[in-house]
Amino acid sequence: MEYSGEKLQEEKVFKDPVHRYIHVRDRVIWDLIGTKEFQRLRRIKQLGTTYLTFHGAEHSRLSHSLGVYEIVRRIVDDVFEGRAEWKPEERLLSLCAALLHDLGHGPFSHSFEKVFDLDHEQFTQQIIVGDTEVNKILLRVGRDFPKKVAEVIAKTYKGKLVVSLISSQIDADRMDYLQRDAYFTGVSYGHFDMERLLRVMRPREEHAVIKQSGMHAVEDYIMSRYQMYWQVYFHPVTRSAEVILTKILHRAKHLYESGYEFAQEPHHFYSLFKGEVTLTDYLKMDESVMLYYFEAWEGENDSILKDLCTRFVNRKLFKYVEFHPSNSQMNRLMELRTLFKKAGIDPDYYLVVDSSSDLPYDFYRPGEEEERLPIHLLKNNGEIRELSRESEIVDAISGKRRTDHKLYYPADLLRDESTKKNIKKQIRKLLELSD
Amino acid sequence: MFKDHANIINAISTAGEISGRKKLQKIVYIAKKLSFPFHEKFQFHFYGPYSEELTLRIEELCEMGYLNEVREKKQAIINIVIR
Repeated sequence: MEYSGEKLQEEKVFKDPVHRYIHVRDRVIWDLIGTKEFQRLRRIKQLGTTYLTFHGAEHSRLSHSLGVYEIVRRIVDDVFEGRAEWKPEERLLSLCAALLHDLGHGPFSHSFEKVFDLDHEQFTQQIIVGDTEVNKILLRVGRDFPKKVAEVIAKTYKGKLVVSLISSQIDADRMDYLQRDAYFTGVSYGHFDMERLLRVMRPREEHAVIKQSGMHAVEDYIMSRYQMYWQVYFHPVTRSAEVILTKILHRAKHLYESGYEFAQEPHHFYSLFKGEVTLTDYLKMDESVMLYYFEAWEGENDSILKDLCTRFVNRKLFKYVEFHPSNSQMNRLMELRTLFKKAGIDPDYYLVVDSSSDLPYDFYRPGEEEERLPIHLLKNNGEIRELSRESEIVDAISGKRRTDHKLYYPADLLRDESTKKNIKKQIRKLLELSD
Repeated sequence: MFKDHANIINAISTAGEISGRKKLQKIVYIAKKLSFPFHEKFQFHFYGPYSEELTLRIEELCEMGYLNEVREKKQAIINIVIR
């Protein structure tokens, strides 16, 4: 029997708190799950630093990847199968792309990529087409199969319907992470009726559409995205941890470049610092490794690196105030920077503005935006309409986004009056902190 | 801190004004490829390279009062200008 069609003798199931069970029948999928590149995702958390705000949010990218696979499996096996617009030969391709779509994520991806100027999507591509266990399995399906999987994930594959299953406004990726993140953070938002959504999805040549009768389920889904964004993804305390993490990496890189001798040598970081990271180096990096260094660096001689690591490990985060970057506020910021220097606190590491554009974005913005494919409703008469034109609820919240900037600072240092008492008092006054 | 915002303003003021959001996306993409110091992440999208981060920064800059987006009369093109 051909490898691509090979089924396991007995179906394997993974227990899952979100989808109850994840079903695996295909040998290829089973083998992919067993690769070291996929297993590495166990050591990378889906929500990065969010666990410092919501202690339950320790779920891994592996569990999310399995979830996305399961949703796509249900769509193609239970909903699309047998429909004229669906090509059954694209089934395995869809499942593999769903399972592997996040394969290239690094530890605390967001800050990590920003500091070292990397892109996890490029690493996903490299892992799939490069010399890896994943690649060997995909090659057994067909010579051009790895390339096809990589194209679906990169959104360049010619079959747009397959692409839309894992990246569009209403895709398996979002459907899984909203529910999974809601479950593990414990917030009461983020829930919507996925069963219903899947049942009313219909394949079209370029993307899936939603039957009109499922509009209210879609509304719920859009609402849950809106609420999760403000409640979880954009939480100011999580952003504080992210700011500290970014500064640790900046500091370590800066120290390396200026010839500092680390007590705990950062072997895993050298190629990153030099900007010549190979796939092998990259795959060795995960959150366990990174946290190990942070803990070790608590014993460094450099006071900034030491302090920032202690803050991250022990959750002694920065506090924040709202910051609107008008001219007068910018002047205040410059004044604060000068005072920080006078107080002996380096403003490059301890006075940080974080903007809404610094975080990945997940709002529904339909209509005139040329660059986004909106959600389409299929009306009973066969007409296709954009969701926000049919739904008042979606129209009311879509695209309406507050931009937001926050100024982060170490309140504990500013309240420590053992040194530079008067300057710190001035700073506190400018930040409008109580004493 | 706002360096990425400043880079965008600099690019737009150098160009005078940029007509069309798509054009702006492509200009910044090419400039980045030519090693100008832009840090926005680009993805392959419907009309080629596109950066959500760039869209967001423009939105923030408009909100802050540094940029303005003006729709040309009876046209779909939106001009991005310094305020």
